[in-house]
Amino acid sequence: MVHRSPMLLFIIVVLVPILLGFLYAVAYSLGLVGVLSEGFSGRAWLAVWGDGRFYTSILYSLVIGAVVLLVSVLIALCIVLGLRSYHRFRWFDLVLYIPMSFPAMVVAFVVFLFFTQSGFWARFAYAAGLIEDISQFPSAVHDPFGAGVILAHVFLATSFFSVLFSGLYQRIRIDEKLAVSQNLGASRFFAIRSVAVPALLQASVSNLVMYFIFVVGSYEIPLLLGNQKNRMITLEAMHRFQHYDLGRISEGYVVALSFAAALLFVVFLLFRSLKRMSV
Amino acid sequence: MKNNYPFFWILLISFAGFFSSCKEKEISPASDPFEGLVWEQVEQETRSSTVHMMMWQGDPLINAYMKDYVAPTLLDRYGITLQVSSGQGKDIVNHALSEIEAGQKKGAIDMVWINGETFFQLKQIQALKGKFTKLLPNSKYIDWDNPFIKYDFQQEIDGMECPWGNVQLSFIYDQNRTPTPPASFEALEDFIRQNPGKVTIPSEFTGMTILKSWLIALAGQGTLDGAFDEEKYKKYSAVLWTKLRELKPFLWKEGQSVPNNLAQVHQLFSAGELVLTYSNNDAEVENKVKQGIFPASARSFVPDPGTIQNSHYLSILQNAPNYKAALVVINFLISPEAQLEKAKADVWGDGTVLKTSLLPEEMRSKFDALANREYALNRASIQSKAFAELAPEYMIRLYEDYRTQFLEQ
Repeated sequence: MVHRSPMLLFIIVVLVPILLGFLYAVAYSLGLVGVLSEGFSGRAWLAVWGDGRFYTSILYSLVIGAVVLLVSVLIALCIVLGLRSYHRFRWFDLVLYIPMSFPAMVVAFVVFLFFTQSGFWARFAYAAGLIEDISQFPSAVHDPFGAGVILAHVFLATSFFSVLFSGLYQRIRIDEKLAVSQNLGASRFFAIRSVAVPALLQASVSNLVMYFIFVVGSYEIPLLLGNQKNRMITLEAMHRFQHYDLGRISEGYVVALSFAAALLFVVFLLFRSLKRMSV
Repeated sequence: MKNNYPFFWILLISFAGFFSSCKEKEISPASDPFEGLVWEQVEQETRSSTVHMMMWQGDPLINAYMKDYVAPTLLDRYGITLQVSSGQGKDIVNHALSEIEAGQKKGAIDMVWINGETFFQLKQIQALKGKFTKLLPNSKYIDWDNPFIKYDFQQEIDGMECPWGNVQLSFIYDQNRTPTPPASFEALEDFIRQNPGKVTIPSEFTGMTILKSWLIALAGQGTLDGAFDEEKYKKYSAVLWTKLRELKPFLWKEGQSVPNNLAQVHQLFSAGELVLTYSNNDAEVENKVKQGIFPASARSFVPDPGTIQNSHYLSILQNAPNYKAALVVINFLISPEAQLEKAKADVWGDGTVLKTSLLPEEMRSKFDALANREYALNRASIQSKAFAELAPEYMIRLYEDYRTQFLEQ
């Protein structure tokens, strides 16, 4: 039996505001509301959908999200599966948790200080005689590949996934599954690769998707470390929201709505293919 | 049969909420809120009240001036509590826009620190209270004849914003690392080629002021004065973008990226990654060296034929809940004593908007006795190289074209 009161509360407190916001965004993008609105117009939609930068920004954001997810999940799996014997110690989870406690802006700032061409590592390389001028140091900040953005996000994401996988490791009894596999003749590496890893990934699918969405929609890290030419979608939207030309605000709503729709579509495809794989 | 009632209720509540929030645009009240105000009564009525001000808080010295001098003096002398919140330009406009669109009759902010394109945008959305400067007793000392004060980005201020300070764009270099800075915008091109990867132009307000100054240098002083001219903009900006594209391989990050805030440029300059940084405030190098942020060998210069000089202003928002007290605060901020304090190099170093010849003898001599700048150029020496600000549309176009015509090429 479905309890109606919690459902009603959820509808009123969560769903209704989201839907209202969505309707307002659609209305603003079509020129129906806004102090400078002049009535119904598809101008903003045509301007954004006809702008190649919009598609580049979406693709760039999705690629950054995918790379962050891939790298951090890989590292987290190595940490959790490689240090299996430490799971029984409570301090293990605490140590894994520490990086996650740093605010994103602080992590971005630290990456800036350490990895820019005049940063800590550049000075170290120069002092060690590895480079003759600081301009020879490969900068991971403001670069076109988003290396600094990826680095900052991986630092935070690895911590998150390590804590997640560590908890799942205990809850779904990976140790026992590995023992069974090895008893049946599987090598340790084969057991980890074919039993532990799929089990952990399958149990954390929704978290993986959620974190992917979080990275793709992040703002502070790309704001401080990102490139001005290739911008993540949040910066692309804010550029239009905060443009000196107030007429571009409606374009900001178009970017946000279009991106949300694109993301929902990607998530839908992802869950559908994962559901098929598990059948 | 499935129970679709929850979905039905979601839609019903949402549409009801949405359509009830769609309003006709509010038309500004026809009456003048400042008409009939008597200054002594205003000062009396506003005692024990609070004024909320939104201003840029990116400089610790300016923040200290407001927090340690202005706020306590206002409380002590006028019984007004000043609450300052952070926000500049776009933040102020977005804030005002949101409140107007929400139909908020009494807003959260009384007065704002603005200039140029922000003034233009706030007027566009009718977010300013009205013409008030004539009410202020201390406005009699303002140098209203000075074109750099009377006009804000070529716009008549028309009493809707009160001048607060005056600054000129300057370039900053380290004389130990750069013994010979570029003497002109023309020489800047060779300088960039000779210092690959060490120069950049940020994509924010100061960067746009640099681009505008360069545009004026290319067009000739006075050519771009007056209202925005599309043909002139296209003609001279084409030259500017061509030059910048040719210089791209020699710029920081090979011109593939630029900093989006000035603090980052300052940081890269201090760290030695850049050889030039900039400031809209010609005295900034003075206080940055004294704060230990820039090396003691940092100096400022203004490339030939000149750079933009402009003023910054204070205004009152249309839905200010305590606009009368805001008048008292603004009157204090333009008082000779507050302007003198602000002009001190170790306090802020901001140029005064007052005509010192109109001041009482005692005050005039205090302004004359202000210590000379040690690291920054004296204002008198760069006044002949001061360009008037351009119409706000130039900045709006440059901001977008810097990306499309330079960064993305």
